[in-house]
Amino acid sequence: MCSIATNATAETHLKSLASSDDEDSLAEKLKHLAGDSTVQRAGYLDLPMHHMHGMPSDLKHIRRVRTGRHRTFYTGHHSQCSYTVFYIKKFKKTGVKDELDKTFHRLLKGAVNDRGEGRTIRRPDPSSEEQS
Amino acid sequence: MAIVAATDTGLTSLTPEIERKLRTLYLMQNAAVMLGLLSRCSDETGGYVKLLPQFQYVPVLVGTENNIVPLYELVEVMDDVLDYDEVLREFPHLSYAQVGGAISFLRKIAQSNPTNIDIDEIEDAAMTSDPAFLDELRTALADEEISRVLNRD
Repeated sequence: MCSIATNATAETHLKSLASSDDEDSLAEKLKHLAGDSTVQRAGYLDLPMHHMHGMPSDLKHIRRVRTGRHRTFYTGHHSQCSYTVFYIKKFKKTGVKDELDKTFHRLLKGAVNDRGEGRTIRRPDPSSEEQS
Repeated sequence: MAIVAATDTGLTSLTPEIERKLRTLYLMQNAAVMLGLLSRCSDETGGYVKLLPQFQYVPVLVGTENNIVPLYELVEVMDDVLDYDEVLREFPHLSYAQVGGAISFLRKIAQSNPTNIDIDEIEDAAMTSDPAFLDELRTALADEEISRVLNRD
């Protein structure tokens, strides 16, 4: 069972979750997820899905686990049997116009702007255009 | 046979054009199958989950004053409030990681959409292209003062 620690920055982030009761559950979750790994066996925190594509070279080694609405950033590997949480990106909990809503709209807007490939199926046939 | 009829017969070889059209048809068919599945699930569960074209058919709930809650974000909140220990009391043969993995699976399914928009990829791209956020990460990463070992609590 591997260990997981927080640095001072992450600890501050964790403490700021205390008002929403997320602090304990997040710390508990991370503790158990780290416990899934051993020196010999890669566990949940070693899964490829936690790597972030497109990171600059100095941050390529960091990973991010989606813990509910929050994103927990950490380093470490099962072979070291130790992980360190250094940053927690928090999302607001409630509110009619809260961050979830705005994020979703922004994500989809970004997706629409980004979906050149996916939209080609509705465009006129290029070869038909060439013929006409 | 409209696809064949619309093919440019003046080309030296029909193969590339036919293959391109088949790929397009395959994508369209997959999109229709995906949307049909999501739509049936919605219909059979009371239609609370909506599939709206303005949200690229990503499953959503529509709240009061037309406030949109994506289904996958509802799953995230469920993950936050879910008592893993309680779940494990019901299924003592499962592990924390399995429950976490199952929630991640449900969240991913809740992001399904016919045009395969990868919400997570977009979220990552938004973060990795934000210089201020990357600087925050660098500063946090440079902080080597270990505050707490969670396993020792």
